[in-house]
Amino acid sequence: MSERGALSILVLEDSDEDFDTVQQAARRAALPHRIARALTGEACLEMLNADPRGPALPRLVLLDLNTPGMDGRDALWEIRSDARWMTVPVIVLSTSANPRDVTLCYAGGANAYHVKPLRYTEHLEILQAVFAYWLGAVAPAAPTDRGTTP
Amino acid sequence: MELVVSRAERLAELNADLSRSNEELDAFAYVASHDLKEPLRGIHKYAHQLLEDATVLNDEHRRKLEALLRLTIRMDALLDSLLHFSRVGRTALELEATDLDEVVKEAVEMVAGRTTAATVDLRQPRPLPATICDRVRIREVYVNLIANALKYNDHPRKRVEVGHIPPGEDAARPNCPPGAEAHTIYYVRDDGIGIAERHCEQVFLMFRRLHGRDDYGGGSGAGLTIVKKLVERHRGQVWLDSVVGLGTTVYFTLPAGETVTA
Repeated sequence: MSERGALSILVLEDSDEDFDTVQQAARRAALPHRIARALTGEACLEMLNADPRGPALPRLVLLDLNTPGMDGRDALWEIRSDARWMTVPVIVLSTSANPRDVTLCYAGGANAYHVKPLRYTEHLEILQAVFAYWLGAVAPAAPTDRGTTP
Repeated sequence: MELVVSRAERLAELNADLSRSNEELDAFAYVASHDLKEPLRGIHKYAHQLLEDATVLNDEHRRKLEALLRLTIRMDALLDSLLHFSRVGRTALELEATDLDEVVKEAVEMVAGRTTAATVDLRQPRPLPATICDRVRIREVYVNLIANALKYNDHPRKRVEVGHIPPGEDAARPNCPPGAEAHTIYYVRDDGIGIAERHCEQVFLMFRRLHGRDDYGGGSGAGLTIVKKLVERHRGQVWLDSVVGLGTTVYFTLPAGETVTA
């Protein structure tokens, strides 16, 4: 099994500024992970489906909610309705503080929901905390061969 | 007879149009302010990075970049108010039997914290009546009104009176709009700076502030607009009575719950 695939983060984010903030936070956290970016929900699912680097899943998926094409909400449903992707931590990062969006995402199987703050330093801190927790503190699901386990 | 019917129909049509356009406006405000936040975050970020990273900034550059940061923060607060306002208009009311004294107690704690006695002289002439209303939203009404009563007040110990006037009681009801006297009238009275008569209508307008941006603790100027919307959601009315230098009383009614009891 390839270990390289297991050390990746998949980011659905259409804003260049916000994606750059993710990369900046990853640099500050000195993450060894490869960061793959999708601009639309469709691209996000394609990348999950056909990661050329190996059979293992990304360690973390970051979802923006309002993206062109299939949006983050629908991408979340798709991810959670596919047995292969059920165990991947999915963290929503959205501009929307609307309680309806928050509830919808948790009901749809998101592991956490964060509202992107205006202040850059706070934005970086949230991302670094997400990385520290989901890539450092928690025990990850055991890697499995894709498609063979439910 | 026919004329009456057609006028009634026309009126119903106009009302339907009006409520539809109000809903569209709320939805518009929501989408617009939400979508404006993303570029604003980008602007804030670049200003922040220029301030941090640029090595050749002179004092004037620095001052301007700091102003730019402040402006993005202010605009973010305005957008939050607009988002909140549109949400108040769109979500359904949850009417329930409510102990208003409990609600007022929570509101005071939310505004002033637990140690209020030294700075706040809170007066409640008699218990408020049992009411049917949306508890969380009416607490927000009291939070806003009590916050204003304390904010626009120069006394070291600020007097706030929270009370009500039952329908039929022999009491003064200054500026009471027609019909409102048939309902229980709730009020929050302060001994603050007061509002000049010519401003009494304007204070309910969105983002309308009577003082400088940073005077009296700043604020976005959305508080009373949101109060008005919350009260109107209860089919009530809100109005005020004020004398400059002596204080302000804000009155409101909540007919929605009274109809349910009847």
